[in-house]
Amino acid sequence: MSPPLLELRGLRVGFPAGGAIAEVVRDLDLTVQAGEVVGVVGESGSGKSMTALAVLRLISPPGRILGGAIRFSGEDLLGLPEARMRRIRGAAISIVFQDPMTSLNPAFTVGRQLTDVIVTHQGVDRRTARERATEALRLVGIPSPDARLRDYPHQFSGGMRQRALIAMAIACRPRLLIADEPTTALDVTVQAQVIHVLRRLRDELGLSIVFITHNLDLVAELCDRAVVMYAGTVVEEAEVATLFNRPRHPYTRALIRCVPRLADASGPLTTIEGAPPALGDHPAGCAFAPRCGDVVAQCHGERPYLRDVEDHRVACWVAK
Amino acid sequence: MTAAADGEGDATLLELVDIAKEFVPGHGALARLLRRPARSIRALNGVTLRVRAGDVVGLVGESGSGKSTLAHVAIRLTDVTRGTIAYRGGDVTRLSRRRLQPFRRRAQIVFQDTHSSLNPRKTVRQALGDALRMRGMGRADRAGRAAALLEQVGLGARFLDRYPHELSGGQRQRVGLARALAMEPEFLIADEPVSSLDVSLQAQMLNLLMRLREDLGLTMLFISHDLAVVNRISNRVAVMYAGRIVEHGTTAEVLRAPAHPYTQALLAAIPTGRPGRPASPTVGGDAVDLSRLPPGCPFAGRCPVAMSVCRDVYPAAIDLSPTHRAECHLLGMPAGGATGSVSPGPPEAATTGAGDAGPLHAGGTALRCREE
Repeated sequence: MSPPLLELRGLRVGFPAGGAIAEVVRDLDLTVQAGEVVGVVGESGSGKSMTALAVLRLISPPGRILGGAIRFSGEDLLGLPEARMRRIRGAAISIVFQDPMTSLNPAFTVGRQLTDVIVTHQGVDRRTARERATEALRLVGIPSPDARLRDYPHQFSGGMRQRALIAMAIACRPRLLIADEPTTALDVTVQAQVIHVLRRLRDELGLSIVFITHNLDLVAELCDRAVVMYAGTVVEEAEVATLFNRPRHPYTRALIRCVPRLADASGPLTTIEGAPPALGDHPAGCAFAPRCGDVVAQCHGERPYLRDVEDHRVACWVAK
Repeated sequence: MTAAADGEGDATLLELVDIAKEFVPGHGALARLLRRPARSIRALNGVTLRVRAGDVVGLVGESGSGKSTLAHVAIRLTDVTRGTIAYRGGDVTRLSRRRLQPFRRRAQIVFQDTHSSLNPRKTVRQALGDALRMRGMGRADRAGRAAALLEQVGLGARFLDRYPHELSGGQRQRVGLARALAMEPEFLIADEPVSSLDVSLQAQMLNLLMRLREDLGLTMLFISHDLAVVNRISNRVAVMYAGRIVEHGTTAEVLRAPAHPYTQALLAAIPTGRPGRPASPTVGGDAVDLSRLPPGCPFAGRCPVAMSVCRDVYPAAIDLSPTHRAECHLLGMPAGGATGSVSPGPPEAATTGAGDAGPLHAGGTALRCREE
């Protein structure tokens, strides 16, 4: 197999908190192959957004990457000078954030912002950049893209702004798109449109996507492989169908069960009692142990690491 | 179905008739200076809704569809532009603040945003104490009652002396609920009470609401954009679009046999949660601009089965059953038109006239209820 497009090994990210360092990403391993859509799913505070920012080296101080390795196409991103890193951001790896309102500058037209990105990264003249911008808007399904380039962000609806951001992110034909909760602020009909756009970009451009979400069902919709995070680390990883049909980690199992679905009858939902640990406040053993129904003595004393269990990778002492 | 009976003729708790609510933006100095004619935003338009004692009415719709405005109107947090609000048969539409007090005690609201709905300078004890004092409870009894309320929402007395910033989102949401319960309401409006919570906490909160409903006999208006959540908790569902209730009925009628093309589109867009079986977006487009509403049906521009009449005339409400009602021209047409056979059961697929199948329209996709 060719080397993976993106490879994270033992990634650790921390923030100073009360004299100590709170680790928000803990020994995280993640691999993305070329053309693959990987879903990273977890609840708030699980470290999924921090992982995304770390890949682009965009963690704001005082937070910092404490250790581990990040390789993109075999190149060690953590060892690159900042000038080189700047050329990778937006060109080879780009990111789309959750909030389409604050990610666009209200004072410039959408076209100006799109062409600026293209001129900066690809060194082409404005006319060529404008053509590519039109093409990018067309790719994300915005009708009459040429006319729309002259609009300001406030003239776009929420769903169109999010699509414009995706257009901006893919305008320079990156190899990897990181989408951080790109549909969370959107309504369900518009969310379905954005998912459809992402799926098409994968199919038509061969784009690799890291899709970060708290919504398990969207992972089932879009992704090839799913990575479940809890308290800063990966607890389970598998092909999407495998993960949904036979989840192995008790957290994944509980998570899938507690999502209400239309087909369900009325009545109480399955819950996961308790709450995730506070940021950086991790017990000695498995972070999920205090809420886990399958807990054994070993779980409290010793931290489990990812191991192969059939066609899954699971960080759990009892998973079989 | 839950304990609430589904027949007609039960005691009506809240009745909204033909409610309209308009906001006029641009009252500011700059707007006056520029003399721009203010374009009013029509947040609610012709809304009629009856909530019977014991009902849990799920109010669904996209953001900006008017769900929260309707909630605020229902308990007179904001005044209506037109229409009447009756509570237990008594008109409360224009009651003075003072005469509104008894109603306000019986009808309570829990807000989505727990950051702005709890006073950051007050401890949980003070927040609950204030509510209990307003109810006329003496100081001696308040502490014990506050602790009992916290117990009831699954928090416990150890949270009494915490400030809001010392609580997690889920805990703040529970304090907001405890404060509403302090008034011993019979009617509770829950405005997106679980939307900002993670799934594991969302399930806990939903279970809590369902248990309280049983224990206290609460009537509820439950606002959510998540149909699966509404399916779980409600016995009635009302679907809003652009300030109108376009369909309402029992949960089974609306979610299993949706009649309005918008309801059908909403259901089709929900992820299935099953790999390899993606939902297919059946409508393109986005929410409409409430300051530029078309004369006809506001959904017509996105509707895959729209006819020319839809753009010009807003459809009258059609009764599909004694409990099921929708506002769509197709339903008023003689049989063979499209959806909307009066009989229960899945609607006929409406494949006709899918219109311009833009890049995001799943052209020709049948609009139908998701299979179970």
